[in-house]
Amino acid sequence: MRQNLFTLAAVLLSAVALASISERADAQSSNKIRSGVVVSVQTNDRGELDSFSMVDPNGEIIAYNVSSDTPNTQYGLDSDVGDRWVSDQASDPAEAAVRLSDQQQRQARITVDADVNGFAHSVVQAEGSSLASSLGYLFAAAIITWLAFAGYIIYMARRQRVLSSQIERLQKSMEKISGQSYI
Amino acid sequence: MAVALWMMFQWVPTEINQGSIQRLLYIHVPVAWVSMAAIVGVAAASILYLRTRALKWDRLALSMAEVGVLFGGVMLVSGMIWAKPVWGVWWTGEAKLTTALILFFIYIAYLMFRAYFPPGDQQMRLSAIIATIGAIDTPIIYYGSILWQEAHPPAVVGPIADDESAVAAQVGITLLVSVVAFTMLFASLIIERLGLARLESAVSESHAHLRARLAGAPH
Repeated sequence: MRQNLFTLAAVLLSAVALASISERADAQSSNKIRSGVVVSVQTNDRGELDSFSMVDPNGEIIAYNVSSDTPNTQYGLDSDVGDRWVSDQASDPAEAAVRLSDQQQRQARITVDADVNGFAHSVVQAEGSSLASSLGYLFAAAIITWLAFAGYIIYMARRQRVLSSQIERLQKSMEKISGQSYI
Repeated sequence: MAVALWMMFQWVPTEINQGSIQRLLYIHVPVAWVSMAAIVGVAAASILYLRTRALKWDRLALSMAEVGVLFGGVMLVSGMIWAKPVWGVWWTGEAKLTTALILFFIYIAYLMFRAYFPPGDQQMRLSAIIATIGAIDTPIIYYGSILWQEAHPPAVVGPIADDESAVAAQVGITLLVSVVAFTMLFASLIIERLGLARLESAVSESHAHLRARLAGAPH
């Protein structure tokens, strides 16, 4: 009876594991579209975009190549004032490098549609973002920062009081001993 | 500091892409600068102690290390809080973050050594050596974003900033005021901590004096 239960549990666990593995494999094979922040931009001698890499929301750094042939990488990127630049790698590879560097500096999110070989088919501004509503994080950071500094100042003040009282006690003891020795 | 706080939360406009969380830059960058400068200060004071054997240098090194670890901790925590909404993770094992964490551990190692090693000249000498070696981490952190080009944003101001990078005037001014404010906070904490270190020395000297008196009293 006990053996049967163990066998059943093992079968169930195996089924769950297999299901999750196949789910992940499916996700990997079909999911070529990823969003993130540009972390590096590589150019050739003429300042034309060669490749770039991006960090995705899981903290994974993904390297992408661009191509002016097949696929001819398409771009749709916004400037800091909201103007959209639409072009492709064959038409303006140098401007692509400038625009991606700008995205990197501003930590602006992009969405990349790439094939399994890492060639980007399209690089566009990421639609929608929860970053604008990150006041809670800012508030938490400010609170932690000032609590840390205030805590340290309180610690120093307390330590100063303890040391001052110790010095006072030691001075009294010294006076007492000096008095005794004079007698 | 009040002016810096008003500028970072009120005066400077909200960045278009990152939103409010970008304001954390005005805390994270100054505390990072101070914590890196502090370890160089600890090393400089330690070298001066090794050369002169003057206690004031050792006290200064210890004070800078203690205040430096506070700034280092704030640097790490503020960086993690920024990373969560922007990168989606609290931490990633990229080079600049790892070397910054190593800096924090160097501070901890220095302070632990000071706390657990028996007091005396050997303690001061060995801790001075730890601090001097530890300071090597600072240029590695500073040039980290150029050397490895990973997830951490590159410098937008300062000597290693890209020629083409330019921050808006309001952002630059706010950052500068914040750096000055946090540096002044660091200096004032160091002055307070030095006063405390002098009191600690006075207590231990008084203890030694009292012991000597007690030893001599029966005669």
